[in-house]
Order: sequence, then structure tokens, then C-alpha cells
Amino acid sequence: MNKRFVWAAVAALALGAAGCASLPGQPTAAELDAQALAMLKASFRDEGIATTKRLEQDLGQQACSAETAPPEGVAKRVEAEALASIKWPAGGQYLGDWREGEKLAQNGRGMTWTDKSAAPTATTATRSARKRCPSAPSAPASTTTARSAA
Amino acid sequence: MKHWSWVAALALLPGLACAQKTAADSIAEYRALLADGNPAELFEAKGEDLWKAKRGPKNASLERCDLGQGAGVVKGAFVRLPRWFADTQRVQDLESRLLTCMSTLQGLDAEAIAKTPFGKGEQANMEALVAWISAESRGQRMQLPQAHAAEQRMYELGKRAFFFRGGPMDFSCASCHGEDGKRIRLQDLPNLTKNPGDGVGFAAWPAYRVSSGELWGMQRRLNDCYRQQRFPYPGYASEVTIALAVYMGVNAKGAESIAPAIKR
Repeated sequence: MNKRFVWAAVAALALGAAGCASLPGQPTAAELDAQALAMLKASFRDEGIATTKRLEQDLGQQACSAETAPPEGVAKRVEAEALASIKWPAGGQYLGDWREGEKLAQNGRGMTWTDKSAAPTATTATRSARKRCPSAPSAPASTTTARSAA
Repeated sequence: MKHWSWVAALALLPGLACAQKTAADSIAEYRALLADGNPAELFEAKGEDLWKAKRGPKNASLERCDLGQGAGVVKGAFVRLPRWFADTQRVQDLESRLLTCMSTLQGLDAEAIAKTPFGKGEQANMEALVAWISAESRGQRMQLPQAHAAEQRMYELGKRAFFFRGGPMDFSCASCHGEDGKRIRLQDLPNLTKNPGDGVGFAAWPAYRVSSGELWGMQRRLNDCYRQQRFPYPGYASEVTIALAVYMGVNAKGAESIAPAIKR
């Protein structure tokens, strides 16, 4: 009885090991994870404001760097951390100048290694609006101007 | 009321015609107009001359360069890259392989070329070379080899790099290229986790970019993706760029190559 139990345990262990480990000479998933991080570290360099510090992941970035979503427990932790990091507007002033906010939303530029400042920029709105309509590059009319005319 | 009629009048202006079509329609029409005389042809012609020209300290041509199909074989090489090379003991993409050939055959300084800004000096020559070499496989289907353990490893590393989220905006490659139906402004973005179709994504680069008048190889394409992701700067022909190319290229298996394509 005892002997049979031991054998079953050994067999289960062997099966489990075979299920996790890959063929000889082939790296395991965990080894590939480590190799991928080393590869990223070796491949990137600082350029302007975009330094390699940007490769250091926070919990959310780390948890959301796979093909599949993180397990529920991790997702909850990421959510809680993100919520805790929100800086609410001072003095209960929740509605600011929405036009400034829209500029930012329509622009989407800034913070790259070709930008001088690490802040998102909303100063090139006209340029991006013009680019939005490539078949009419010289037409001054754009979605932005149409909206402000209305 | 008056305001609304103004809006209606503005909408009828021919300059706003693009707003009435889908983004994809406009871009497709624009490309069709331009493709009838893709300026990439000029780069292809220059690239063919460069391949045959005796250059560098060794005054040699690239005609004995092995792109994976044997010394000097150019046709069909592009749709089978990146791949493992026994002489360098590395998986190499087209551009890193050309660096090897320029260094070993012609005696040029590969490290210096890798540090040269895009479009300048030997990098301008590189663009012409990749235009011609990719054109020699035009119409063929992507078929990257995956038999060697190193090629399989690079696919796995490329996949991890593709999903790696970082930077101040939490971007990964997958943020834009991980599912169908995404776009940036008018540009449809291919889903690169699978075969996105003939002449799309990996099967469309190198490409001539109308907006800048430049011929971009895959290295420059990836470089600008990472810039827009707000990542730090990926080294030219660095391992991450090659791993990503393996991941995208293997996923695109069977897609017809139209490189060098024409892009907005």
C-alpha cells in the first residue's frame, strides 16, 4: 500500500516535470522571459528625453505584457494601484477648460525622443488636423475648423 | 440654425470629400493614384548598381553575399528572412545580413554604418539595397524558416518584445497591432499577431513614403514605431528589431510580398 503510493507519487512527479520542462537544449518559458528582458536591455539606448528608464515596468505594465490578460487577482491589484495613483483636481473643481482638453485629445503628440519636453504637447493641433486629410493637403478646412465655425 | 447651414456648406466643399469616405477608401484611392509609378523603382535601380559595384577598402562588390539561399542568390531571399546564418552564428534580418556582407566582402565598418543616421551616407545606400533585394522577391509568399532552434527562440523572444508594455504611455507593439480594426488617424493598422493578408504589414516593407519622399527599410519602420511608443532608441540591427521581424514574418506566412510598397 505504502509502496504503491510512493510509486504513484514518483510517476506523478515525472509526468509533471515532463509537462513543464521542454526538450533538452530548448529553453523553458521562464528562461525565454529572462532572455527577452536581457535582449531589451541590450538593444535600447538613451536618446534625448527617452531614456532606458522607460523600460522599467510598473506592476500594470508587467502584468499586461502578455498575449493573455493577467489573472483576476493581479488585475484587481493593478486596478487598485492605478486608482490610488489618481490625483484628483484640487478644490473640487472637476470641470476645467474643455477646449484645452480637446486639443490634447486631438493631438496625441509629444514625449518622444524627437520632442524636447517630456510633457504631452497640444501646440501643433493645426498641423495634425491638416495631416488628417491627405487627399486635400492645401485645403484649410478641417474637422477642427469646421467645429469651431459651428 | 444659421450655424448649422454653415456646417452643411463646409461639408460640401470638395476639400472635405475625404470625410465622406471611409478612411481606408481614401488611403486606398490615394495609393492607387501614386502606385502608377512608385518612386521606389528609382531606389531599386540604385540598389542593383550598388550590389554590383566594387566598393570599400577591399574594392569588392556584394555579388558573393550570401543572403541565405547561397552566395549571390538574391531572388527569393527576402521572403525567407530573417533566418539563421551559420557563419555569424546569429539569426539575421536583411539589413543586419547586409552589414555582415559589407564588412566581410567590402571591408566597410559595420559598426559605423549601424551608428549612421537613417538616410545619410551608407544608410542611404542600405535603403537602395533593401529596395532592390526585396523587389527581387516581389509576388513571392512569406516563408521564413523555423527549423533551427535559434529561429524558434527568436520567434519566442520577438513575441515577448511585441507584448512588452512600457514607457510613459504604457504602449506595447500590441497596443496598436494586436487586434483587427485599429487605426491611427486615417491609417489602418495591420494585426501583426497573425497573417494580416497579402501585401500588408511585414509583406509591405521596405516601402517608399510619399509624405517624406524616403525609402524606409524594416529597421527604420520599427525605429519609428518605437519612437511613437515613447520608448528609448532601439539600436540599428539590434536583437530586439530582428526578433520582432521574426515574429511578424513567421506570423505572415503565406502573405504575398509587394515590397517595396508605397505608403502615405
